[in-house]
Amino acid sequence: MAQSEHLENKKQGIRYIHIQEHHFDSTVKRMTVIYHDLDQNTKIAFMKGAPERILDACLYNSQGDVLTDDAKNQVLRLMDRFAGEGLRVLALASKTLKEENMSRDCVESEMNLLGLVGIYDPPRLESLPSVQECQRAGIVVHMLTGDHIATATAIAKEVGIITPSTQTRTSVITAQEFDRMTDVEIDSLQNLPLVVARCSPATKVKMVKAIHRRGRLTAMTGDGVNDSPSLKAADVGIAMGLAGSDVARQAAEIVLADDNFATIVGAVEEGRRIFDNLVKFMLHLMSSNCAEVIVLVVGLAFMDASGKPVYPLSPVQILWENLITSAFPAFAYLPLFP
Amino acid sequence: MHRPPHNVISGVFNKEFASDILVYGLIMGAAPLLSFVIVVYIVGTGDLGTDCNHGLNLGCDTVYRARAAVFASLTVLILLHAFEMKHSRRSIFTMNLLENKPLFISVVGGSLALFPTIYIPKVNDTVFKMTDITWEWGLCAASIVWYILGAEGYKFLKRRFGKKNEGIVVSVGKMSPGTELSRNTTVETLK
Repeated sequence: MAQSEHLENKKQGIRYIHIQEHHFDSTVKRMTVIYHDLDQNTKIAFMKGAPERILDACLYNSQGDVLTDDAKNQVLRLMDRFAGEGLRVLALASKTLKEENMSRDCVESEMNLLGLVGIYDPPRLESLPSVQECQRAGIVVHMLTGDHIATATAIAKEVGIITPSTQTRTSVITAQEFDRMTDVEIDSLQNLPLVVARCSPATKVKMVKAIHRRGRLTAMTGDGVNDSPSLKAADVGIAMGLAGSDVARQAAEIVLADDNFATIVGAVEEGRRIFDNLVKFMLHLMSSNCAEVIVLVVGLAFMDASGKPVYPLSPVQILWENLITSAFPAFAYLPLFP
Repeated sequence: MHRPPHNVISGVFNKEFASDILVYGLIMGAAPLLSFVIVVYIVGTGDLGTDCNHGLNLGCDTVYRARAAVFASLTVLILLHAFEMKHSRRSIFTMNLLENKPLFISVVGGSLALFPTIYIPKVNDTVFKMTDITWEWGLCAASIVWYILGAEGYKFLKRRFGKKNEGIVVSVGKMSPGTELSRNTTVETLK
């Protein structure tokens, strides 16, 4: 970049200029941006991501001393404590680059660990009652998340996906553990895990397939590009309309306009009412017709002097019963009414 | 929302649905038939006249009255049946019949529509092939009593001996998350 431009930026109080970005990828679970530091006239890389993945790439602490195993364990313990409180934990790291045009692997190595950040993103208030409503209605709610297992467990408890009474050894597992299991092993589990942490797109598809092998229907919600394969694989894919990516919205059958889980529960309720009313209406029509058939068929036995049957109902009467008497109650069983 | 999902394979058609159609059909079919028999053979002489399917010929008056009785009781039963269908197992006496206003209006309207068809001259005999009735309304009332007894008895048996939740939904036990269902909707959510 031209020297004069740098001077111009410096005058305006700008210190860092964005040069390059290694975007977030759910397989490596970290991202890096490279900036030009005008004060030091060096290139510097900043990385953020899942703490265990960041630690792998770090060699030094923020002071530049070599990270000992003790220090690493301390960081992991701290991360577990944050996550146990339902916080999403990110680790931050940086590194001054000495060479030009380094590869991503090269940049993301021997970094200085700067610290941890815990972010609390509270679940919506209506999530807990909605999940409970689902469970009453025989819908099992699973949570497949990219979060750390401790964060996922804390949030799942908060929204009622797992309760102390229903939690078993296999109700919360990590994606690594789930991915290692063969289909036979998964099928032999008594219940599928309710919470899977650190999920990749493939894990989600694997879960949908496992549910299908148990002969159940799945509805799947998701917003990211990562969720698209599983949205497609599920019987009903539900994408987020506000936060959702375009790919997820394309892959889904339903797009939620308000990104709210409670809306799905409302939709299920509405659907069930329509189905119930359909059953009532069909039952009414078919049993009324059955009665008419019985009257008419048995009525063939009433024969007059010339041996011809005398119909207990005339043709116009039959039409009246079917088109007038039965039709209006059938209209009344439209989905609008209970 | 307090039941598990219905079976996706069998859908609407299952054993309870089939038995409902048959049982209600028999209950609702028997009453008008019996009305016909009572009017023609028990109160009447059993004379079915000559060619009464096509017009008010000689001796067809009894048959025409019997038809009106059959028509009245069948209509009333079909309308009452619409109320009874509001719930597959709950008794009609515990239902709020005004809850579904259009249903209530169509039942009352359907009953009232009986009178013009039976009593307007020309319309009754040339179109509907029936004639004015008097004491036969008693048969209609008896049909209602018979239907209520039969349908409520059937519902009672279903409540007493039927499998829990069977019918529009599959049978399952306790509904805690992770409970094994034979076939069931599962919602997956991502945080």
